[in-house]
This record gives sequence, C-alpha cells and structure tokens, in this order.
Amino acid sequence: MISRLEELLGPDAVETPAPGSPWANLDGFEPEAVVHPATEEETAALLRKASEHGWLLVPSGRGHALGRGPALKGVKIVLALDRMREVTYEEPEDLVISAQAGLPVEEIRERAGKHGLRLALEPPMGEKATAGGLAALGRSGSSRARDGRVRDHVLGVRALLSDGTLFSAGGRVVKNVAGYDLVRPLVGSRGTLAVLTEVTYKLRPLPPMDRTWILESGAALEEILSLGKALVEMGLEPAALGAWGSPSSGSLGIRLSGEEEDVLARRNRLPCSLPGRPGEWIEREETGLLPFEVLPWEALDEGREILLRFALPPSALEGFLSLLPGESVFFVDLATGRGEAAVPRESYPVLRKQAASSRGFCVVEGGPPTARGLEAALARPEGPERNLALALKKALDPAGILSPGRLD
Amino acid sequence: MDALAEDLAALVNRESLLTEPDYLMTYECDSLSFFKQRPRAVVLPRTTEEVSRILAYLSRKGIPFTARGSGTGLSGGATPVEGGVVISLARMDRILEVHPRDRCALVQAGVVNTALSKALEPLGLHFAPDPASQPVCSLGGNVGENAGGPHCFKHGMTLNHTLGLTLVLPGGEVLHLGGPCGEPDLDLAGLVVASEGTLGIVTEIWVRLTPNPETFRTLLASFRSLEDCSRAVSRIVRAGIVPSAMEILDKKSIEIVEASVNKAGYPLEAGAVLLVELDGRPEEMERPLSAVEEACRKEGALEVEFAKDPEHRMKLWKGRKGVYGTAGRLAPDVYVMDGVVPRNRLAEALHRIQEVTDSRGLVCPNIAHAGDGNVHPTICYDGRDPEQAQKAEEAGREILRICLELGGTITGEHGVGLEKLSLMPEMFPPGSLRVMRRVKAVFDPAGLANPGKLIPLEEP
Repeated sequence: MISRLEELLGPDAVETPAPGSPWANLDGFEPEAVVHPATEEETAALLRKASEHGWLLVPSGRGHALGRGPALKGVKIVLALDRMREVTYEEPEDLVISAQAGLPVEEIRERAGKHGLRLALEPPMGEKATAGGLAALGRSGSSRARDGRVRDHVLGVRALLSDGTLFSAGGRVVKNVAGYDLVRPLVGSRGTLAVLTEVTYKLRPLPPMDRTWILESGAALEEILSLGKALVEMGLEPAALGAWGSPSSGSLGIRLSGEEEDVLARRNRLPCSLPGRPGEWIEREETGLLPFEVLPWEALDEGREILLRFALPPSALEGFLSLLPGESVFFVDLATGRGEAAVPRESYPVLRKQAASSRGFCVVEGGPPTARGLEAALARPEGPERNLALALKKALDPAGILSPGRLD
Repeated sequence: MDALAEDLAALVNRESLLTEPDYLMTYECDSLSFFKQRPRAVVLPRTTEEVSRILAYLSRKGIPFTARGSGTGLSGGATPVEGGVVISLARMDRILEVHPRDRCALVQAGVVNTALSKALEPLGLHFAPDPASQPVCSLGGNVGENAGGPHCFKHGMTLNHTLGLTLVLPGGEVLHLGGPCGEPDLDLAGLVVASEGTLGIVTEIWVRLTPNPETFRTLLASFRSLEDCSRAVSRIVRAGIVPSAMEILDKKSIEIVEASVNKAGYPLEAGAVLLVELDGRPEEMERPLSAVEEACRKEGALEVEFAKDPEHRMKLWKGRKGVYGTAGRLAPDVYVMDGVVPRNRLAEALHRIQEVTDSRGLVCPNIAHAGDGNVHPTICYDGRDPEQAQKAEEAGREILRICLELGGTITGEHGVGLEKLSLMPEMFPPGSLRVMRRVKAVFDPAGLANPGKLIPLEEP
C-alpha cells in the first residue's frame, strides 16, 4: 500500500506516523500511513484508489480532534489535508471567505480581523482547528447563544465522495436554496459522508465591545443554576452564559457584546453576587469562556473516565445536572442547554436516559476507545432515523471506507 | 367516485377528500401560474398518522404526490404532478406545544406563519422568518422552501429557526429528525429544509422562537439612482452595521406603490429608495442608526426620513410589502424573480437587470432584500400574448444567468420548483447533481415524492 501511495502522491506526501504525532495512536491502533495530498485532484485520485482497494481512511486537518466521538475502527490511512491551505475566495465587503480544508482557522481570523470582521465561531480546539475540521466536527463553542451553530455559518463547501466524485453544495452568497442543502448533513458528519476540500464561511462585523465577567463563587450547583436562570430571565441576551466546575463548587461567566453603551448598561444590571456568598463579578482580560469550556477535557482521568457531550432544553438542565456524580467536572452553556462533563463511566446510562426523557441527548465524546464504542450501542438506538442516516452513508460512501466506526 | 377516491375516502374522513373538478381547479398551480396540472384528487389530512396512511397507500399503488401548504410558492413547487395526488396540509393547523423558557414550539405544518407569531404575542416571542406572504403562507411551506423575508439579514432564514421535524417518508414511515435540542450528529432535519417536498412530507416542526425586539428604528433614504442606493448598502455592510432589514425599491416600484392604496409617501422624484430597519434595545440603536444615515448621505442621499412613531413605521413598510400586489394591476400576469448576488455586486446586478427588461420593453419593478444581495425583479406581462410570455421567460432566464455570472445563485428563497430546473446544471457541476439524485433515492427510492421538482430527474 505504501508504495502505491508514494507512486500516486510522491514520496514526500506519504509518511508513517511519527511517534508522538497526533495520528500515531488512533483509538488504540496505529495507521499504516499518513498522506498529505497537495491538491483536490490528488485527493480525488487517492480516494479512487482507496475505494478500489478498500483502504479504510479518515480525513483530518491537523489531527487534533481525531480522539473525539465514536471510536474509529481499522483505519489504515490518515488523509491529512494540512497542505491544502489556500484562501480561495475573499470578499470582505461581502463578509465572505472561502478556504481550503487545511487552512488554520486562526489565519481566517487574522485576515478577517484586518477588515474589522470575525469568524463568529469559537471551536473548542481553539487555534488548532482548520477550516475543514471546524465544519466536519460542527462544534461551535460557547458563543452559540449569540452566534448560532456551525451550520449557520457555512455557506457552501466543495467536497469529494469516497469514489473521487467532486461536488459542491451551497455557494458563496448568504441566501441560497438551489438544490438539496447538502451542507447541513456534511457539517458535523465527522468525515463519514465525504471529504471536505473547501469551506465558505460567513464573516460578521467585530462588535464594538465584547467583554466577559466571571463570578468565582465556589457555590454549589443549585445556587449557580438559579442565578444563571435569573440572568436568562432578566433578558440580558448574553453572547454566552456559562457555568462550570464540580457539583459542589461552581463558577459562572457571562459575555456581553454589542454597542458600548448597551454592554455597560447590561453589565450594571448584573446582580452583585450570590446572596450570602463572597465573591463578585471580575472582568476577564481575554474575551470569551474557552478556557473554562475545555475544563472537562482536562479533567479526564481514571476516576472521570469519559467525556459526555449533552444538549437539553434549558428548563431541563437542573434535573440533568443534579444527576452528575460528585467527582464530575462540567461546563454548560445555560443559554442554549449544551455542555460537556467528565464523569465516571458507570454514570453514563442514567445521564443518557435522563437527557432522552427531556427530549435532549447525551453522547460519549471523549475517553478511552472502549468507552466511545459504548455510544454506538447505547445512544443510537435502532429505529427509522438511524436507518436513514446509515442509508445516506451507504449512498454517498458505498465502499464504506470513510471514517469507519463513526457511523456504522 | 373512482377507485382511487374510494380508497382514499376509506383512509381519511370523506370531507377530507376533494375529487370534484371545480374544487381541483384551485390546486392546479401555486402562485406561479406558468405551470398548471390538475391533480387526480386532493386530500386534507389532520394528523401525521393520516398522512402516513395516505402515503403508504399511494406508495403501494405507485401514485406520485405533491405536498401543499397555502399555495403561495413562487417556483411551481406545489404544482401537481401528472396523474398525482395533492396532500394539502392546510387543516394541520394546530400549535401543539409552546416552551417559552426554552424558546421553542412544536407546530403542525399547516400553521400560518403570522398565526404563530400572533399566538406568541403575549409571551413576547415570535417566529422570525417573514416572507411577504406571511399572513397566508404555512410554516410547512416555509420549511419546504427555506423561506426568508426582509428581516432575515439579521435574524436568519427558516433553516436557522428549524430545530427538528417530523417527516413522513413516501412509504408511510414516520421519522422524528432533531427536536428542541437539534441532533447529536448528522443534521438530517437541515437536509429536509428547502427540499420542496421531494423527500417526503413534513407534518410537524420544532421551531425556534425569537424574543420580540424592544424597539425598532426605521429610516427611508432616497437616491438619484439605483447605483447610488446599492452603494449605500455596501457602505452600511462595510461599516459593520447589521440592520435587521435593508430593502431597495426602484423608481418603477415607487411609482406604482405611490399610485395605489399602499401609498407610503416615497418621494416620486427619487431613482430608488432604501428602507432600513434596526431592532434591539434602545441603548444599541443610536450609533448604528447615525452610521446608516451617514453612509446614505455619503452616497448622495437626496433625503433621509426617520419613522417618527409605530404608525409611520407601518406606513413605510406598507409600501414595500404592497409592491407585489400592486404590480398585479399593471398587467394580467406577474413573474416574481428571485436571484442572489454578492452584496458588493448589487449595483451592477440591478443595472444589468434593468437593461434586460428595458431592452424587451417589459415593465419590471425591481425590489431587493439588499442586505442579502437578494433581488426580486417583478416582470409584468400579459400571458395571453405568447410573444410577451416568451419575452418574460427569456428575461427571467437571462436575469438568473447574470446572478450566476456575478457569483450568486438562481434562487435565494423561492426555490427551484419547476421554474428553475433547467438552470440547475448551470449552477452545479455534474457531480453535485449526481449526489443530489443519490440523496433523493435514499428518502424516496420509488420517486413518488413531488418528482420532477428541484433537481432534473435525468442526466442532461
């Protein structure tokens, strides 16, 4: 296989994974090769070959999100898109940018910033994210209350099916209803349906003021949640409202953005602190809540073996979070009901059940591959919805070579 | 009653079935009258279960079907298929659940757009997409087309407000895609939005609700020319201002509105007017409002008028909203176009559109959701005159090609339907159409769900 790959892409574009590189250990096994095609054509040629020979592969940007979601199985090749990093279209006056999949999101941010614009997504991988990876993973980050989901920011894509067929979906304008909106299922599909080669993102103006305040109270979860609820009901319309910590000691952060006068007026309406508790709102030097959002990931250890990703109607959060065992570490966006928690493995079934009964969901996002294998068995029950997802996968990837284990 | 009617009558209440030719005539087309086809029957179910039973039956018999909301579509999406049955969702008009704290609601597909917002009024919430037909159009239709409207520049289209839906597949199987929290991985509900009833029938929708803005500030700026007006739009976008709506009306639109009951006080001497609205908290209005005014003045605005009170605001909007209706008085037929161009190419696009219609001697008021680059030239013609009808169709095609050439799309919110089928191969590479056909076959292997709409059935 290696010699065939080298023949196809040139020896420079094919490597065996270096120890310590993000792709050296894929869910407990080592892939045989990491390939770095330089163009869409090379990527298509590789896919055609892989389909023909049944080589299982996983597309990746820079490899930093590979350990997320359902565990991969039997992948032979990592298709790294990190050499495809051109900006292919840039129209700041139209608030639009198109980039090849491997372009670091940070570069989009820098380019946009020069024009007073921003990419209004703050993915949990931060600066390591790539244009393609951000869309494929579909994780928007904690400013979701204001900015919406990743799917709301992707205007169009170019992508390759596993048989090498090139297709485009959507376009480069903000409104477009021509044909099926293939962008939606592709965003968040984690490389299971197609390989994204180019993504067009909407940009937004930088707000005149964007500030974050933190209340590190050490209060128990119920108190934190009740203050959070009060903040939501006050109609402060925060850009983000996060709570994090452990069930016995939590903190709260609020991000307000907009016109200066408006931000400060809303800031002044924040209740001083929790009744009968020390602590007050401290302004953060940096904007946003990203460091707190990744706390559950940092807390993964033997006692908190798995990382759960959940979404609940905000009114059902309290009931769900009250089931978190004492050693859990969580982050939750109180405005949208989304969050993550590092928990002991045995607590998953009860949390999953609670989420489902509140019409939300709770899936295993991180942890050892065996635990992430659980997800397929528990969180995706048999049913017509699942059959449809599988049928879509089969229609687009008939050879079944893309990201095996994640949707099968 | 023929066998089909008897069978259908056994599946639903007899009064939920229409087979009399007089009644069927109403269902021959949607609001695009270019295409007409009388259905074999019309069924008006009240529940998802009834829809499921009907589709299971039609699937056994191999009979194609077309879902219909209120019939206000503008691309022939709800035009029946030859030998097919129309499933009207008009009687599925119940709001099933409202969750104000979670800002979502579950509605049946036949609920009328403004009926939902009216019901939510006491809660201070509304459904944000506001297509021109909103007093009549259904939410199911909004989902089918991914409807937008003037305020989607800031608030987004129907897709952005759809959290989940109940879809009945052509075989009758009922699927719940997404829900109040969306979906954990594949966004299949998002794929169904804008699919124009070609993947199955959407019977229930989880919609996102938006808090009513505390205040509105509305201004009307008049310009010598469409070009100046379009440049003002680019300048506003460039200045980082996000109004909730930015609407352009050209000279012809101003003239016809001012001569009608929808008279809004637009200056007749202007070559174009720009209607801009900002919404939000009072503290966030002043700077953006002055920035909008400044942008208009820098592009040579003749006059800038601010809405003084809610009545004045309504009056300014009444003119804009009345353009389509008023255009109907200029000629027996109107052809409402829908294309999108990058916002910085808007001036060029509007100029070229005017040339296309002027050169054919067609009357064509031009309006645009300028903030989105979404143009709606409204071609007025007499369909009884084949020459005029042909000119209208040709002009329409040329206008959409201009949109494509400038880097835009052939439809921003009205859909492909029957109208734009032949332009799909110009918009997408062959690979994209192949992928779309594969997607269609996953949902509808027998090809019974509104066949021949949205994507050309065969390879060109």
